[in-house]
Amino acid sequence: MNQQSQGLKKSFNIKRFIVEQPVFIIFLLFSIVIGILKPNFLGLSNVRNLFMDISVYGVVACTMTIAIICGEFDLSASSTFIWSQILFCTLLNRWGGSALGILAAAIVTLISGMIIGSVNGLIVTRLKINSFITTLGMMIIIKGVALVFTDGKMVSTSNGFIAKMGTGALLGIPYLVYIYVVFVAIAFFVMKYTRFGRNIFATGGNAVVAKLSGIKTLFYKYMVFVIIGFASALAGIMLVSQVRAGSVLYGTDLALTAVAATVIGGTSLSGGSGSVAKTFLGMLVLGILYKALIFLGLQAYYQTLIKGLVLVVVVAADAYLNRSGNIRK
Amino acid sequence: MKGITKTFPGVRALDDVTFSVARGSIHGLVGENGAGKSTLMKILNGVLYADTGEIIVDGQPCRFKDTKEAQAKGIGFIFQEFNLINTLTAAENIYLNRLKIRAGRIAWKQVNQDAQALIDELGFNFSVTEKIIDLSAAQKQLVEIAKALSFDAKLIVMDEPTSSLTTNEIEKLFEIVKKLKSEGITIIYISHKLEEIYSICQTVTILRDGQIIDTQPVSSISKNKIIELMVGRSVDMEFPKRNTVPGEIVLDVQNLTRRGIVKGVTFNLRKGEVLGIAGLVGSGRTELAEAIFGAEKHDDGIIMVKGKKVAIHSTYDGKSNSIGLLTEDRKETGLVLDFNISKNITITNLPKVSKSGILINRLEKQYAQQFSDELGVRTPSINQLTINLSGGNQQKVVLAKWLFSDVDILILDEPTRGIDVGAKYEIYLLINQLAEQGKSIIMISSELPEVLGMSDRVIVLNEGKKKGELSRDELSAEAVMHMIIRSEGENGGNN
Repeated sequence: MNQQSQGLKKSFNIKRFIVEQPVFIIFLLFSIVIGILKPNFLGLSNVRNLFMDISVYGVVACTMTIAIICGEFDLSASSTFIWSQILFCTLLNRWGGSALGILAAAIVTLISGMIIGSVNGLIVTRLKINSFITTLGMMIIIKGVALVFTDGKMVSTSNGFIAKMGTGALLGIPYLVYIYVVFVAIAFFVMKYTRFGRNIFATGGNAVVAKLSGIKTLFYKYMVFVIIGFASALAGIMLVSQVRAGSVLYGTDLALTAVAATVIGGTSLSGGSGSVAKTFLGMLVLGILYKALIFLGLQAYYQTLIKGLVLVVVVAADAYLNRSGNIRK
Repeated sequence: MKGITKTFPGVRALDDVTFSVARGSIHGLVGENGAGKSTLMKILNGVLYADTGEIIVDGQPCRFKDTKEAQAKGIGFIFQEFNLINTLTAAENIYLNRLKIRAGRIAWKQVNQDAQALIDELGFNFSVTEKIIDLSAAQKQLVEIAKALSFDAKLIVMDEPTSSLTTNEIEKLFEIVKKLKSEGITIIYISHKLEEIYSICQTVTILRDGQIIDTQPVSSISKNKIIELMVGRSVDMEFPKRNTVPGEIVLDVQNLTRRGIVKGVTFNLRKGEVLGIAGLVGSGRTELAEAIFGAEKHDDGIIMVKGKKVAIHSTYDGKSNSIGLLTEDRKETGLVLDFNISKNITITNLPKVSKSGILINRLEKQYAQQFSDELGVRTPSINQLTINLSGGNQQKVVLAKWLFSDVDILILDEPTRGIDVGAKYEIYLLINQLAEQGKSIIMISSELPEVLGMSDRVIVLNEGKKKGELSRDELSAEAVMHMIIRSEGENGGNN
């Protein structure tokens, strides 16, 4: 309660808010400018599509933020994502006749994602290999597995239920968006209001101090990989429900986009601070950019270029604001 | 330095400070943490600018925009923490960014020769082609001095240069400092350890709350007077007394061994007792503490808590068995500096402020405030980041976090390192309070008077072995040193 009222007080201090949330300001300005140029842009269906677009990657970005807060990092999320699409499609084609079969396919896919995360976690915590190298290796291995399994071909599914899942909506809001929002809400709650979350912050803030305070730091590092494995598999299922296919070509940029959204949102790469809510904004900025480019008639290929530019500009602006903020201290 | 004033928002860090140092002297600068010593020296170094006032070097007014300009005027700095790059050699560090280039490439032979000459001149012999990481603390300190000399420094500021050195190394450092003086180099020597000021300085300046309180020749001012001037009130330098009778045995350590570091140490600890561990740096004191707490694994031995044998393989096990460890380096291993006071205090015992895994914000703040108040942490708010606190206050937060954990056995490794006299005394009072509440304390310290003054009983370690045990009545510096020296002799015989 206390903290909430403090939060309110803070938001009245506009200057401070700008310094702390530059991304939100950029996001607002950008939306307004495009909105003026192209009034349709802020139309209901476009906003709806925007949220739909960011849901899949957003789920992973959210857990990538948790990993980064914990001082870890997972490059293999892209491959887990790819593998999960393929596995889920394959299982759907085999078991998809009954509701139970669909549920089983989803559960098996989620477990397979968690197993991949678990292996990452064990390598990092037991063999003490840094997460960059570990997950780079895992990324290549899992992609290799996916290539061997499919011969590089796309696997498609015509399962009716799953198609409904991907396109259906409740009260005008797509199911996938509900999944994303609920996912972020849970992650936000866990990180802010639970012991589990606090210990992840402590581990990322200073792993030695956390360990010497009696916190099982290795357990938290391990769990972070399991969680991101789970999220990557969930994202895979979500994508399949949208495009009704899985392919080694879908989502190779997932891990790096997730890191970009985290950083654009304002979570520091050094660990110990940040928030999944900020990353939600980061995803919105990326999503709105993508939409805007299409609206303005630019080729989709510009997306990558612009994404990179935004990343650098936002981070530079943030660093600048931080520095000028520090001088006042 | 004349009329220097520096204000930070809300604080006047330096208030019209005029400070002069005679050429070729060793000038001590003392003051509590936060008195303004560092700020003053940072202005001299060009890291900060003064709001008003001027710096006069050899009669010429100067204004330093950065460290490089200060260096050019012959002002060198040696800080408490080493400013060396571990993976480079001593010579590379000395001539960092100034490596001599000949014919388009680095003249390694010349560089190494020059560096070696500097080191040799200081009367040490080790090779400058060794990497910093392979050098001892004293050798690193020497590299810092050599680096300052390589700039032709006329004035060297040393900020707590002995904090990571052993007694022997300190003596060697003092010889070098005296030698530098005899060569006409001026030294400003900042230290918390007044013994050091007395053994090498001619003059001492006392700074308090951003003002110069007094400057005196050390020969005409007593230690107690200096302390009084530093804290602004008279301080009883005796260690505070406590009225406790140690109770039953709560911790029984038998034959604890870490291969090559701790060799079969056996001792026990009673309820309400303060057990000192004396020994030189590197005697295995810290390593023993780590093994008991579970920060490092032990290879052999038994640990019994309250009569029951316990298995301690991790810090979590240690805490679960009611053991806490306050580490010697509060910045690196004691606090999450980017966390506020509140979060740092509750870190050891989140279950106490949560229900089924969910944190109760109100309860957390309430406890954090209570512990912060009880320990007398001086801060406007418990939401303050610990990185902004002074050393003494940081140490109190570390103590608070272990008190909050409700452990009964607390190992304090160098609990007063690098904090000022006033804060030290407060820490001593807290230790007594804890003992009176029935907590059992193991206190490790490099400062022998502290161990002697605070402990009910002392065990002496040397080279990983327990060399003896002294009860309150037998305690004296001579007895402890005797045990250490006797064992050195034994080892000599064995080899």
